[in-house]
Amino acid sequence: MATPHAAGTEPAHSHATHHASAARYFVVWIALLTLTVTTFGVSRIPMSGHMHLAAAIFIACIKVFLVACFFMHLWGSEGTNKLVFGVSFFFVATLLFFVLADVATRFTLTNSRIRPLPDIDQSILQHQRPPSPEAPAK
Amino acid sequence: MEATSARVMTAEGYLAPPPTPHHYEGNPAAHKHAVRFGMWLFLATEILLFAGLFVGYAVFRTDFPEAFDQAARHLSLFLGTTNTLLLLTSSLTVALAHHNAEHGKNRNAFWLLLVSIAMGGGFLCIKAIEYTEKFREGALPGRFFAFSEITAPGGPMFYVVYFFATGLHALHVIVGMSLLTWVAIRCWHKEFSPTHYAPVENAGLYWHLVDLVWIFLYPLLYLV
Repeated sequence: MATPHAAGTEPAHSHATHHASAARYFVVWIALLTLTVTTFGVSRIPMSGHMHLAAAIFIACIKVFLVACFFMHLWGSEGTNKLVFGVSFFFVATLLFFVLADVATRFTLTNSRIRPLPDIDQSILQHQRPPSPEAPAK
Repeated sequence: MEATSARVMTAEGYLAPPPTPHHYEGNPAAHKHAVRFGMWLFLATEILLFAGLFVGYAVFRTDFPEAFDQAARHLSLFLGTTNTLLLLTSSLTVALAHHNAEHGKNRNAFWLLLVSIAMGGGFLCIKAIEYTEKFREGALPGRFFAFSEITAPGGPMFYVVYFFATGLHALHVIVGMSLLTWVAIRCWHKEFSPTHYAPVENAGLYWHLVDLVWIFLYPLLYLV
């Protein structure tokens, strides 16, 4: 399919997949549709919420792998492109991991979102409030 | 090695020379690599942009599991799944358009891009139907929340994530459709050839990224 002069200017390792048949795209598409139906089906199976989440993310990762490798031609692309894509996913995973590790291990004294803070003696804050007629200052 | 400034003759006719900066003169492979690498770097920044919303989802879901469970059940599975199938199929047609443009079949590429743009439009229409329903129900972010069917605390936070994530994604669909329109017009003018198809490839890469984001949004918002 490719004209000889176009193929000749390319390094052999780079971009070889572009010259393959278009049939591969249909195969990937069928796989993606199948995985979509699978993730839908799995979400209807009675399981724990964590299992549902893990299964959904696992299937989504397979779909992303297929789209990136074949529709986006990362498979057989220059190594730098793979590096950029792989590292960006690694950074997202790192961000998610540490944020979730923080959120999951919060306890009362570290939780800035509970008001008023229950373990602090409220009387020490009394003098900072404006005096109110219903509750005269002690 | 063929000079990059030479015009290219294909089965379809006479094509404009690919624009090659002078510092890549005589080395089209390096030029091609640089163009593609630049696009991947840009896509990495896009991934990190969406990462913030995914982290927000993770935090609020951890804080309000019941509300997220209730709210997810109020999204239309049918519309969400239809949109997923639409986007996946549009990615197929964009990949095929790229394949055709690369082989100098500009007219095929044009029609495939047109079908892709139409599917992007279909996606946005379905999204609009979903948004209209949410506005009618009062299933809205923050203090605009007035949806009585979600009883657990944190309902407004689900819709913060929902509207910001799908909203930013929809914005990307619009940008992607504009890029596809731009390359479709260039396909119509038979501009692409085996030595010059980077605009189709890069617009396609952008469209696939939009698809990648939706591949994660769909199960997280609609299914689990």
